[in-house]
Amino acid sequence: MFEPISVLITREQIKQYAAASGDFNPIHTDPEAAKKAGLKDCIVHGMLVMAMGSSALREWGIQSLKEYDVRFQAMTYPDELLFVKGEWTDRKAGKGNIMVENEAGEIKMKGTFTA
Amino acid sequence: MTNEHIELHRYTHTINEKQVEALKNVIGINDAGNLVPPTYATVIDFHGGMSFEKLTDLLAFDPSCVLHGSQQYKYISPIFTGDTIEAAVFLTGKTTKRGRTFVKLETKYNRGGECVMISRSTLIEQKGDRYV
Repeated sequence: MFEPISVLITREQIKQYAAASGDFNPIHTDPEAAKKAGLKDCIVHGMLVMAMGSSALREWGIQSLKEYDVRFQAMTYPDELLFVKGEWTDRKAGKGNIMVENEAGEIKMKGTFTA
Repeated sequence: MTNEHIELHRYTHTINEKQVEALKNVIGINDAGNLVPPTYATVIDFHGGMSFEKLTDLLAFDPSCVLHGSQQYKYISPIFTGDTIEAAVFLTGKTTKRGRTFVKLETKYNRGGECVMISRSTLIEQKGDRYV
């Protein structure tokens, strides 16, 4: 298993990500829209969580990807402490697993990569 | 889930350095290389021609109620700052379960007529209990 990497995504970072990515889905920045969708608060973009996963892969020395495939399994809220975990499942074939969970072990994102 | 392959939209976007740097800054990548990050397709889409408004309009989704269920990228050839990418988005499935609508999208990204990346995603329209 790779060394887990801790990540905390703030409301400010969500706003910056919305501007940088162009993903202005209001459930990420407008609490009223979040409630309309049945959420208790604004949530982090799944794509920002996925991007933090790709940054973790880089830190683990994986530079070039052939495939990156994830499911967003639970909502990620601002200021939740997250841990990105990963491991090789078949080192020779360049295949591995990646997941993001919070301190309570709730899995936010789970998937696979091929380097 | 219905199986279909309906073209929804096409757009062309040239990757510019400022937008690449903005994304890298937010996700904590600070190298000097001109290879774009693995999730850069979001910028190609949302800034390049498939804005959030356009997307929800094409899917007939309430823009306040859109969730991202899954995302897959297949990287065929590296993509660099300065590349001009032509994207074609297809609706490949749609289903409704317990008041939630799921759609599957496939986007093919071409450079000079050659496919360099494929995205497959699931988007969900979820209306909460207090939806009005």
